[in-house]
Amino acid sequence: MKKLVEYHTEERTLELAIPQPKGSEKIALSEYESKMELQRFGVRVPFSEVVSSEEQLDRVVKEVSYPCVAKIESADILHKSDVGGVKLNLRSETELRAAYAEVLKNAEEKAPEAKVNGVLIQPMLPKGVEVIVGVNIDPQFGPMILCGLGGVFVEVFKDVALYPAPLSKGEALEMIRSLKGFKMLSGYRGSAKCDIDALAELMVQIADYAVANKDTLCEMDLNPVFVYEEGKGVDMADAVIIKRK
Amino acid sequence: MNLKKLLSPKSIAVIGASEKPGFGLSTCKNLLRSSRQEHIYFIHPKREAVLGKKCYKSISELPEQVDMCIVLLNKSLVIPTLEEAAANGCHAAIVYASGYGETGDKAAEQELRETAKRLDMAVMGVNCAGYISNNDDLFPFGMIVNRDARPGNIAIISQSGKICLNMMQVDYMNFSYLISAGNCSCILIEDYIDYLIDDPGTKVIGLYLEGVKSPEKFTDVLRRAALKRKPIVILKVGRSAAGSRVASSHTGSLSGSDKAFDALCKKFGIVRVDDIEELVQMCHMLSVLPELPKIPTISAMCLSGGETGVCADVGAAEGLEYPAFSDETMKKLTELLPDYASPANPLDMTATLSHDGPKYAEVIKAIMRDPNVGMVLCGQTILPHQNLTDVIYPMSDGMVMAANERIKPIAVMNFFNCDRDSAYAASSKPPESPSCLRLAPASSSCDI
Repeated sequence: MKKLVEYHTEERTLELAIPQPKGSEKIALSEYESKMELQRFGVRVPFSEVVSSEEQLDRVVKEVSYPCVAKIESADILHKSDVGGVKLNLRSETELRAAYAEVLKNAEEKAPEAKVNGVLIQPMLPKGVEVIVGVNIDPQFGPMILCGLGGVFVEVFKDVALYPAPLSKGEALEMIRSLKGFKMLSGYRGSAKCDIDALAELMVQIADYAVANKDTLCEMDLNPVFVYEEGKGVDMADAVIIKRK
Repeated sequence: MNLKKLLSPKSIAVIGASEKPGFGLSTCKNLLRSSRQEHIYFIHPKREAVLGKKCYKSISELPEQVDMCIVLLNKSLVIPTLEEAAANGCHAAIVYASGYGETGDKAAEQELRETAKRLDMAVMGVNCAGYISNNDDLFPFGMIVNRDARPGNIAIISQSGKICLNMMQVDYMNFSYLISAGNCSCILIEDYIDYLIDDPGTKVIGLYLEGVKSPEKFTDVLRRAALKRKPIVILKVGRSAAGSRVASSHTGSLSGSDKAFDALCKKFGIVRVDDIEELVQMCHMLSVLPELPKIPTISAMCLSGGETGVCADVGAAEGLEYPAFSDETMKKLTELLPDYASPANPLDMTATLSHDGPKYAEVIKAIMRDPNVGMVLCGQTILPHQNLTDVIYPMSDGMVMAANERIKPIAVMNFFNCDRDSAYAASSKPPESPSCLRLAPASSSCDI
């Protein structure tokens, strides 16, 4: 009843993106490929570069701002930290060079069959409140946008909101506010209020991407996304897109 | 597909009319109660009469071309019967027969679907129990409808005939249509919704749903209902793995992710309910309330502290907001209530007021006028003790007086269903006002 009273059609996108699935072979895009795919769609992604040779590394160690991170770049390794493929908070050229070598060595030892594109190097993102933004595809009703607070909130408490794409900004904000852990974003015990507006805008863009790719998209995860203080935006730290070909 | 001839036929043929107990006999008995006897025809190749009504040998012998036929025959005879009906100008049919997709015979269901398309025939079923239309005083339904027809504005579409029948037994539920849609092999739930959105006799559409067959069409009708502000209430099974399995074996329905369905309901403003009682209560409320509250807040007022406490807790658990009364309301309540009452929302108005109808009405109206309050709930339980009559009558009168001023929506909460003393229940006066709603029973009444 409460929901019915508060329901107004003018605040809703009264549409779905019902899929006509194409292709049978599922392919996972690597982190870099996923981010580039989103960037081509107009989503802002943090600067990053895939380094696959010593010459390239010599250049990047001079260009990147420190602290930075090095991550194994391979579509075959979706859980990078499980194979020792992630090195965070690298403060100097020396640390970065060591991390580069170690990440490659770890991948070769723990995932010898994986096709490795190189090492993804990017500046270390400042820490914000961790959230997850994702897309699941319902076989009947198409892409469903998911958002939840990262870490234990999603994994233990299953505190997530789900809503069919496309998404208006109002609908995205409603999803965010419906989270049990919303206070983590709205500020509690003196912690600063987060940039919920920027998070909602990212969700709308992700929903638009899912609608545009409704026939081939299988799944997508931006985990984690850092939400910063009000006015300071959001950044995606990792991204995986799984599509059908 | 035009469903008018199926759901609002001017004439009906019952093919395979029978006196053998079962869906056939019940359908014949139900149809004999209709006021339109001269346009209802029984057909049986060998019988002269069924239940005293003349039988024709075949559909071609009928004195008029009929709008709709009910096929009471088993699966093997369905297609030839539909072909004969179509050849005689009939383009709508109800088919009860079972043994199609729900038992794995998908080929038979596909053949029927293609036949219906080829014959341009609107086919309800298969594996269904027909429907009841109080709009047209017609009961082509396979289970005995033993209550008086209670015309109303609730339309139920159900993939279970028994759930239709159960809802019919609830004495405050009044229907425009009750449709047992079965497997939906040809006409989909989506098509029935589409028809009922435009039915002026239907104010609220309630669904018992096992699965959606055409997501595109479903989305289209939900959008249309949302824009037209015609409320849809859905009880959908499949929240649990066991529920999904039952839906699949019952009507051959496939359900996708339940959470996705929940999300879809949010987008289109569908009220998704969890059980049959909530389906009944929600449909009833939307059927009776002249309008929805403007703001999503309530006030509850009871004559007992106990009932008030329960209202407070159940309401809070359901996420309902009991706003504080405005200063003006507080002033008014202090004047009207005895000095040992402590005005607050929810309000324990004390029992004194229950003997004084006009004063009780003043209290309700004062609360209705409070700008913080969207809707008022009044607790009143009719108990089988004659000595309470002096409480029940004044309270009923007071509620009607207040409700008739139509300041804000009002609903009555009945905390206990008391049917041991039916004579007393019948003689006492529950509030009857077009804008006064009776919710029954007990705790789930607050579940709005």
